[in-house]
Amino acid sequence: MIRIKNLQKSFGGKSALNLESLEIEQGECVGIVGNNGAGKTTLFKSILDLIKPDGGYVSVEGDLVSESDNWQNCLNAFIDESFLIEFLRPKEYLKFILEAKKSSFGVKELLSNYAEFSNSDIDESTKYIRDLSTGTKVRIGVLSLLAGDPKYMIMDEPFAHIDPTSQVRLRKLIRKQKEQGRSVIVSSHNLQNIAESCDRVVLIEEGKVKYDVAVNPESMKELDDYFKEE
Amino acid sequence: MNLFYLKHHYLSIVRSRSFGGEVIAFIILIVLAKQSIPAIHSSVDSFVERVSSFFGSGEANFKLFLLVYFSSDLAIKLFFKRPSPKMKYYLLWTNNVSSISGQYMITSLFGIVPFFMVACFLPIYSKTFEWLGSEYLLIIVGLWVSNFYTGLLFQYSTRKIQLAGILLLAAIASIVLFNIIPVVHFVDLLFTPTVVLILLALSVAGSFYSVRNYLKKRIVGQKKKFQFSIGRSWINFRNPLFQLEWALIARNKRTRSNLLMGMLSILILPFLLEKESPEILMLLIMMFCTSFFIIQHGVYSLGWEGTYFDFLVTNVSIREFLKSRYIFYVGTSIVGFVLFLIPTIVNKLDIGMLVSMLLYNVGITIPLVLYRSAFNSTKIELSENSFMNYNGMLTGPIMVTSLLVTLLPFIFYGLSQPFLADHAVYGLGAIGLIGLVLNSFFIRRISSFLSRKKYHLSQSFKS
Repeated sequence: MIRIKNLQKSFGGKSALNLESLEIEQGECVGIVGNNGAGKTTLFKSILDLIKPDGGYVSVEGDLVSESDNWQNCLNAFIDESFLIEFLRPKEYLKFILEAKKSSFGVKELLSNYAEFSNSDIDESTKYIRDLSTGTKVRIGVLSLLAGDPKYMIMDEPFAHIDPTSQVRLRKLIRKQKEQGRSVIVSSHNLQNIAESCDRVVLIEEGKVKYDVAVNPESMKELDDYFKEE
Repeated sequence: MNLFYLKHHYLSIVRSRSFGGEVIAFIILIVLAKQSIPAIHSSVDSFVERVSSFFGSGEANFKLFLLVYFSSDLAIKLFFKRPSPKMKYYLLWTNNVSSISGQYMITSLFGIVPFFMVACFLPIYSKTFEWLGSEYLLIIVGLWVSNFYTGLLFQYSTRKIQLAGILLLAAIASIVLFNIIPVVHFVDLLFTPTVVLILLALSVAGSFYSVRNYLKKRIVGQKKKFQFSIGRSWINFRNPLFQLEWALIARNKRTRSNLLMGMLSILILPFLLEKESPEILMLLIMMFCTSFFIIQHGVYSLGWEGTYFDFLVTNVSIREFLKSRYIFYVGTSIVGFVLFLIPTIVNKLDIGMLVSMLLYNVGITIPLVLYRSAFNSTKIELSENSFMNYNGMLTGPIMVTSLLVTLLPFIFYGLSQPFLADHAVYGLGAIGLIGLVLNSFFIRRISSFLSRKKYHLSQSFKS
């Protein structure tokens, strides 16, 4: 379980995150929504111990992320392009992460298991990652999350830069992870993508949890109305 | 002519976050250079004397040396290709390809300006070549620029032109090697201002034509794949972090030129040493040569990784990362040691001293460099050349070099007081050995320090 308690973070005196409590069980698919600057990325970075919170804590499987590296064995994340190594080719990057995470399978197996999402372009690409399109980079980042059989996967706005076909395939990929007992925490500005891939949705505004509801037509309508009013 | 590309290049330099530091570093370097003119004077003469021992003295032999040098320089420029120009924004806005090509060629030239300074430095500060006069400067600068533009021409030209060029160069080399035209005559012919100017004009015109054609193709979408010709960089070390390090060095301009600069120092510095040289000078040169790559590269251990720092610290244990770096640098130190063995044997220097310096580097220098690397919060731009590049310089090599230059004599003199100087040299080796034994402890301490710094580094590398 990922447990977040009294997590606070402010930048230049302005509060960016003030979460009283948030718990995510293994096997849950959680969609995080909110306007720009709501605190979604700050939340993800706190979970990944990339920023030092002013107060509170994050624990993964009982270990505080700030005190132990154990969470790295069960949690993978793709936040942005800084999670890619630009001077490697896609397959070399995937090979690196699979070896670093001591995966039981290789690149070939990974790409064939997710052939639909990886498409032939990743398999055949001889270009370095820095020369690829943003959409392809995102797909490589998402595939890298599968390294090492993680329990939790975090994706920050993965739908934003990929084409509609890939969006559909990503939704399928997320659902497949849930079937395999993994947790996926994904943020998006598109409610439809969240509705079709997650079973719980958390709305964050001004660093606080505003709604935390199960995904169903009523809750999605309620959220839709909320954004219209905003 | 609208000089927007040049203007933007200028702005990217003056508006970079490290510009202030770079200016200060540059001023410090100028002051240091001015202060050390007498030392440079004698060092250059000593270097020239040693070169003369291989090629012989006199104008003809010196020109032969230049021929070998410029041929190697040309070979390197043909082999190590420059990355493709990043001009997609400009190409979207304008069809004035000739203007962009010209401006690209000018900005590219900035990178080799420092070489001119070095080229001019040698004859000015050496009495040996007073007879060469101002004509020499014209020839040497002309050849340098000609080599540079020939490199550009080859990179952006079609395969057929590349093949024709290689055949032409091979034909010229054969004519010289098989003595069809005696080397002396060939050298005399080449080192005349008229011939050099013709070469220069041909290379400039050829490269302009190639770059323009290349950019035109980019506009109509006929993308041509350009890759570095050094081939696949994955070698058989099983550790993925080793493989990553090797790819980092081989595939990025800044790291690659760092390696070349390090290699250059190994080729030049040993010539300054003689059997009678002061011990402290020998120690310093041996230390810098056996750590030739560690200082320049190691101080940016995290800065290189700046673009994917978040990925690294969320997927790889910091301790594991530092350990792999430590082992990697030990490897490069051993390479430096092996290379330095040749001048040590030739000049009959003390091999024991060299071994001591290797141990000192492995035990003290590498942990010190890794520790200092955590202080560099500047992301190092991998696509920029390292020549005259002050990005991260203040927190990087200048600081570490100053530390090492201060520390080594301090320890040496400390050990010389109770013991003999010879014993003090071995004492340094013993200290290195102790450092080697304690390397796990050092790495543990540095990783815990780095764990505390990672939040700051993550933010800094982002901005």
